[in-house]
Amino acid sequence: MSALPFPRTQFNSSRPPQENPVSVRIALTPLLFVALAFGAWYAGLQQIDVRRVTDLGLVSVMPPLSFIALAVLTIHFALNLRARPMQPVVLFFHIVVLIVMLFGIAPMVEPLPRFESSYKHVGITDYILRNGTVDPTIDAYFNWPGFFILAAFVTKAMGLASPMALVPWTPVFLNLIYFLPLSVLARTLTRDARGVWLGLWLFYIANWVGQDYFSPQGLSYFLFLVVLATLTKWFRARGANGNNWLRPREAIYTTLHGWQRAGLLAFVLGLIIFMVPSHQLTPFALFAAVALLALMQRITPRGLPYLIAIAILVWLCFMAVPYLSGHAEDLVRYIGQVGANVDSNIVRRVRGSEEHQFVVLTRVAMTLALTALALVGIVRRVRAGHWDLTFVLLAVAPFGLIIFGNYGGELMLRVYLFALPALALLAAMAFFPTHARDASGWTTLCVIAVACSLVAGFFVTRYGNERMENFSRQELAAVEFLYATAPAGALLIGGSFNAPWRHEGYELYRYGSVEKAILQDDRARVENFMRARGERPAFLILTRSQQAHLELFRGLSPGAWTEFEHALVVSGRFKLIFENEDAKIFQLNDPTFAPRAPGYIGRKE
Amino acid sequence: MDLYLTLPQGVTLATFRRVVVLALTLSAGALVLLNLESPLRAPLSLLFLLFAPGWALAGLLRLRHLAAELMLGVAASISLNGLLAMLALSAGWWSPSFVFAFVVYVTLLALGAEIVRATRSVKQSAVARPRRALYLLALLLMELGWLPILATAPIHLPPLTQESAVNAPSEPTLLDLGQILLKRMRPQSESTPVQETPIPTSVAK
Repeated sequence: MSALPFPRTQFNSSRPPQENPVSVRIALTPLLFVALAFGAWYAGLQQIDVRRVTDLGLVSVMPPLSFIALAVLTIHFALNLRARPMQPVVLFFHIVVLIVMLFGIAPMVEPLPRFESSYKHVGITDYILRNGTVDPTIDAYFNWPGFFILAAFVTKAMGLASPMALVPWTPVFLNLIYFLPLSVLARTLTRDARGVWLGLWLFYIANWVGQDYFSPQGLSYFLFLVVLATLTKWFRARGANGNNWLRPREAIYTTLHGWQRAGLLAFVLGLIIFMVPSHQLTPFALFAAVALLALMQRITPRGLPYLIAIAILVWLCFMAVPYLSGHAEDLVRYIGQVGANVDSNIVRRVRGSEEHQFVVLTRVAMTLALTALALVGIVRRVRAGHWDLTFVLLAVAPFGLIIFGNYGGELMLRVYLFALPALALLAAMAFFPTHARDASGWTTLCVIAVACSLVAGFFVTRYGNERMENFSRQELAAVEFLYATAPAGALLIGGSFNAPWRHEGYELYRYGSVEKAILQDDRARVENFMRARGERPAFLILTRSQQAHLELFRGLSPGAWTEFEHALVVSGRFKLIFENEDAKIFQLNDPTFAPRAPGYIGRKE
Repeated sequence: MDLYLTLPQGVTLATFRRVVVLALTLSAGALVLLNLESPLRAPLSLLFLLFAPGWALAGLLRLRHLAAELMLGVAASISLNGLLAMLALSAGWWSPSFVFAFVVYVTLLALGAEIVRATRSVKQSAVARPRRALYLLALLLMELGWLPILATAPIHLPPLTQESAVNAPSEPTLLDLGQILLKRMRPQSESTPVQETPIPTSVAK
């Protein structure tokens, strides 16, 4: 262990060589082993048929081989935590492979990007690419357009026609870059490298929330982590002016010049200025965390919370108000729809099919288990003489988001997401409370047991809604047909909003859902809905993933969907204009009903 | 023992940063601004936009810590790209190639400033001095050489009226911008259509 708490990267080749240089001969064997585990995992994936996924999610079609490979990787990681000297290259390689396994499984086995929302986000980016402007009156996304403008710029610079190619691997990419701030943040908690690595491992296997897709939340979460890591690493209060019980016990300080601190603060401000117009929720989460840290004398820049608050207010007043004034109702509805992509509130009443209830309960259980581990970690640390108030505050701060009401039933999910780094790192402290003690065999066994059960649970919790969240090529073909056929201004109606749509002509169409009519088996209501918007031609699209959505979340009984579809065809009131094995498109079958001219803005070119 | 991956013996963080940033900047800059068709364009421009501008800026802080520099570098790159693109869009000049040229310029500027500072603070040996002077000269030439490219990178201006949309030059450059803005400031009634602005042939296509 070097004398400096943060060993500096070598700057000058005349310095003496590293204490523990990673010998190639030692490192090669574990690396080969990890590569082998990945090969076994990949071989297992070839047997997966996504079309046979049940209400239990992806786990229902995963072969045992893939789970064995994951367990082997986990055990190997836990054993490598015992290695003396520790081999950072080996542990880092484990984490990279873990990230690819956990978050890359979807693009490896599914034909199309997951999540209805990713298609919507592609559509908004496409709007900016086509028009070179944002229109704040379209919907609330255009009032926080930072992410989409950035995506449009990057797409164009890369020479791509659409950001769709970036979407499938975004979760892997985002989780890889989360590693950087997380490792810096973890290092401020403890000097024990074992605790740091285990904390990082726990973060990834507990990150089931699924907000790391092609979305403003995914990117601003990275900026959120960087700001917190910067503040806790370089702006830690020294406790000289603090009360005794508030003072950090384990002294991990870095010495910086004044100009370096000023420079770092400039970086932090730059990140905040981009984060505020990019996402509605993350700046508030950051404000809560920074304000709490400043209030409890954990960090030195006491004025930073005010600056964040001013940035948020300025954006709300000057940029978002033109929209808010006229569309307050839309905004509320929009916030409500944010929840459509993931199961809503983890503690909300359990609905839907029995298998889906199991998925939801597993989520609750995993969340509680991690929280319990974190509590054990805090207690063990206190008993070892360390009081990690900073991380306790970081775990508590996100509850300040409760002012947002329930954010479409999704609030607890976001609270968990923002608390997760602190929770995972504190949970690791349950195993390695102090660097002074060597880990016993029992500790390693406990690590293996906990990590293996969390990994197994991960595929239930993260991919539990896979039946509705993945889309087939047939469904996309139907949507493409719809965009080729429907004139601009048309009303596109889904069995629910869950379909791979809105990635084209974002502003050109109106969208609706006849979810309630299907649940009540009310054919007449569908007809009225299509007719009521008289001046617009209406198209009804029914797809496999919409059926899955209603069965998983709304308790639609199996078979009811097919019956409903059949009833539509037999009634003669609807004309089937497109059909494949996953999707059907209907129009009203009524020669006397001709949509009036205003609806036809003209065919899209 | 260090948590982070350390660099191989003999490679300093500063050298590593300078080489990576410069290589990414030159390769991605050429591919994107000359609009070359290449399978390397997408990955190289993505890597450039992700790492180079922010890492060059983070180098100015002299943190001597690889993971910390990368963390700040990626975050600052993302924010810088996003803010510049937003600024361009809200000013009505949505032009990815112009923004890209500007990002390249900022990157080279930050890299140059960092090298200048480093050379000034280090006690120079007689052997190292001429080499450093050569280094700085090359950088200066690159900075200056970049200005005409920046000036001629195409800028897309949304048309003022429907008719000018039909005939408007698709992509004027920074050199035309003054004229165009002047014309826009005149009252609409006597304004001449934007399409009459002469367009010099663009170096950067």
